[in-house]
Amino acid sequence: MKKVKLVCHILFIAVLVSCGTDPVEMPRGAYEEGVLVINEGAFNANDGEIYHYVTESGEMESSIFEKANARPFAGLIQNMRSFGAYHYLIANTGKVEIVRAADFVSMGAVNGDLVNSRSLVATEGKLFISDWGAYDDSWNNPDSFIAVVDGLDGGSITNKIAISSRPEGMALLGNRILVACQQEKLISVLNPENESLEKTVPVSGTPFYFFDYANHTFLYANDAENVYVHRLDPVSFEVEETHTFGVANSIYNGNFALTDSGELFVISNQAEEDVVVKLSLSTGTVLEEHFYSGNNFYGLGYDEATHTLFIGEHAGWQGNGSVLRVNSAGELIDQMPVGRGPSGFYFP
Amino acid sequence: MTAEKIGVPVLAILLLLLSRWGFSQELLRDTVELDPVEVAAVPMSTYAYGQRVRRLDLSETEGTAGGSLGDLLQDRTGLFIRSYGPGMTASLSMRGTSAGHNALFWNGLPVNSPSLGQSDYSIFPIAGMDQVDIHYGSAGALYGTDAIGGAVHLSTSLPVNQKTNTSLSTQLGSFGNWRQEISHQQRIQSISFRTSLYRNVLANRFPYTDWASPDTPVRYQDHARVNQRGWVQDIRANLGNAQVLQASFWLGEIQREIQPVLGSSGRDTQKDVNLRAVLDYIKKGPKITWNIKTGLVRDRMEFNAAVNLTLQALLAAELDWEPSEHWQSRSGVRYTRIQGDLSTYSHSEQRMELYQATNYKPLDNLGFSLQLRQLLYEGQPVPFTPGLGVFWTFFKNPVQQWELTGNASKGFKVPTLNDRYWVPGGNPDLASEQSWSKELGVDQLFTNKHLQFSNRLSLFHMSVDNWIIWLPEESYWTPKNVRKVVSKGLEYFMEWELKQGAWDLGWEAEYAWTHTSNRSVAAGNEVDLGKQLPYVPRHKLQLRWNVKKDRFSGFVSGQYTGERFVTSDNRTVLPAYSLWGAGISHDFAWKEWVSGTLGLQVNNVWNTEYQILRLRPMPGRNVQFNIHLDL
Repeated sequence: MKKVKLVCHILFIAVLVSCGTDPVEMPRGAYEEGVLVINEGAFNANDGEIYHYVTESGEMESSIFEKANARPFAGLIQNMRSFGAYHYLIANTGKVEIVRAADFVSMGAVNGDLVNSRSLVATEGKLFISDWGAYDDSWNNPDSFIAVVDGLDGGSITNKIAISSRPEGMALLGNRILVACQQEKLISVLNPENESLEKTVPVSGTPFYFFDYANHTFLYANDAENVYVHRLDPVSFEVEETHTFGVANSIYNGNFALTDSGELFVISNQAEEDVVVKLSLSTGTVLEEHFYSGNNFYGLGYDEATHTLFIGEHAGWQGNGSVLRVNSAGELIDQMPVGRGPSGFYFP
Repeated sequence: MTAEKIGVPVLAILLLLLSRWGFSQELLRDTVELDPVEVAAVPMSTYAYGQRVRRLDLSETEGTAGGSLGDLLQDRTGLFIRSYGPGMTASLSMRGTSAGHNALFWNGLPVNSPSLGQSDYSIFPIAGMDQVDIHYGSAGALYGTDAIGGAVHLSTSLPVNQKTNTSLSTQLGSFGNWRQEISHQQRIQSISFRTSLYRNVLANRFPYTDWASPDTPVRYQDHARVNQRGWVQDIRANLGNAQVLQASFWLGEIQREIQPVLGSSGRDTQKDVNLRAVLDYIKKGPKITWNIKTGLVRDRMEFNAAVNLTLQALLAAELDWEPSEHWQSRSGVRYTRIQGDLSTYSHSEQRMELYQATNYKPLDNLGFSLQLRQLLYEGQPVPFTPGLGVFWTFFKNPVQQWELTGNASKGFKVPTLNDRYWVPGGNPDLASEQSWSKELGVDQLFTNKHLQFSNRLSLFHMSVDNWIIWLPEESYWTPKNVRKVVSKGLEYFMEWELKQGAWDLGWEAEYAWTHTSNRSVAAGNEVDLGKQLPYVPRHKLQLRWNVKKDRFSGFVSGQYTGERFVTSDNRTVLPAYSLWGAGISHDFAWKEWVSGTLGLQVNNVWNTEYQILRLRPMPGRNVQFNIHLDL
């Protein structure tokens, strides 16, 4: 009997060991491959949605949020951030929807007390959401804030951190949160642990979004004459170096696309057409002033897997927009219908 | 495809069916019993040969008692009202046009906002009017700017039987809604007057499914409250020698919490204060009628803290004369001064219009109408605007009459002040929108001792060019004349009434089939070519049954609104919906000095969940209790 027990124990341990050491092949979700197209939606229509482009088949699946959840998104999608297994869909109509990245099934939401939410980071088991706050009589936003939610699955807001007007993009750098504040053209540095503002850093141009490249954190900013890319010191958060590109009328929503080799694509709204301009972060120069042109350009994304530039086109906001795929030579590959106001792309 | 091509088979089938139905059943006489009203001036519709003008008598509006003009048109006609929620902004779509392509008049005064180019049909409570006339189809030569899809005329009029009367009405409804009205009319020697005051409080706390939140909870609307009050004053003085001086004045205020679209946390508010005043001098002769009109429309809109103010002052003179029994003519001149003080600009301008309308009836059963108009604004002429109508009564006997009608007319819309001067983006170089409209119709009327029934079928074809669309530019939006739209369709209207003993039964139906097609679009929008315009339903059907016996009356009403496309590429669609309502009322009299009506009605009987515009929830089943007293 003891032998039987011993054999059983050995078998049990063997099973345990095998389970713990063998790699488990978890199938990737349908939406963890291909390209996610963020359609912002039209003002007062709240018809923002996510489309999914399957690279292999070339098929575009529409309204995947509504399909997965049997209800419309019902908001204007300002941004989509991804942390862990979740995507966070931030609506500037005052909500954040949290979906499982694999299948877009809703896992929660942040509702109530958000007004004009812009971006989000998740850290320390909390969500930090930048929000412009309400407009005043002069169309300013004096009551901007960072909303804090305990837990990564959404819920109610536990704290509001007052911040410089019009906080836009957010990023984690070290153990601090950086917030690009547009009105006063500065970076606000937050301590997520005690939820307090520690310092501000002035920058050139209107700051939009942070991005990482070559082990550095950068901030994208612009004004009517130039595009600015600021490299930030990871300790002091001050601007270490600024590349100034002479690109006039870069698009007002601050959209751009970055390649792994340090090329930056931006949209310039020119008198007769919209032009995609190609910049180099390495050299700080304009590589191509006229990489690709057309009308109603609104969003950009770059697919490293296929070396393809994705351009969102809003069709004059008269209806749904389309996506143009452009190869590395600046030639149109194809154009596909998508939702209203395609403003960004996510490459899982 | 032309209207004629569409029309021939459809027309033939319908005529066959209608005539068969008409002669095989016991048909009844229409009893649209209008209160007798004194109409001093010759109505504009006199010159609308070949087109349909439908009169809605407000004494029959149990279904929308106390509601707005938008509610009335949505419930009682085949027209489509784009409503953003109960008591919220509502605009009219007629024959596939946009909100600014319909003219709205109050006592002959154009009241479309010169800055927006359209009217909000929700801010006109039925309490402020006695009569609504709907002119279907383009009538630019008759009415001037905006009348591309048609025109709606609101009017007040003092009853001819000028007894002193005081009336009180109140209506209590679901969701915290309460409407009140008090009116007094009197005649002192040759002067008649009526004073009406109204107050509507709509809490609009109706439940709705929040599709924007996880688990789609049911919530109660908490930001759609409406407070409305107003004063309507009518005065008429008989000056002798067939001369009348009449004036009307309407001061209205409406404060609204703007119902946010689902998924938004908006807390916008809007306050509108509207002042309308009109003064008419009318002199009637055996063959000539003079009408001198002056009026003022002042609209103040405060959206959150932004204030927009417009003022229109009008002076017009018209001469109607009948040189013989075959000829009828109207000549007129209209001067309008417009002042706009908007949140981003100020502008004033003057408009001058000359117009002429002539009816010629060579035979009793044949008539032609020719209308001409030339408008100048800021010294610029809009293209000359003609219209031509005809009717031919091809069959007539003591009980039955059949008539063919036709009309071809031009319409136009002067670009709005916002289109031309809004900062930033206003485009002062815009051309007027232009339309050409053609229609054919057949009318049938059957009348005998007990029964009256009528049918009308119209086929129309309209082309609107230079359609103005706001498009994004480098850093702001700007309007451009970019779109051309062809609209064609069919309108059918039927009503019958049977009087048998103490019973009075009625049935009316109106159906509109509207097909629109983009023929030219802005660069980059080629996918929209050939597509139906957003929020123009192809099908709208309205039905209503009335019954009356002694002091009791009741009705059942229904409407069907077909699918609406949300976007111009027709890739997003809102589902069709049907709504039903029913009501009963009882007339009573107590002693000799008080009489009145008690009424109860149920709207949206089947609690249908529907949206007229996407993500704009509408109320479910609701009940209204009405009391009306005449002292």
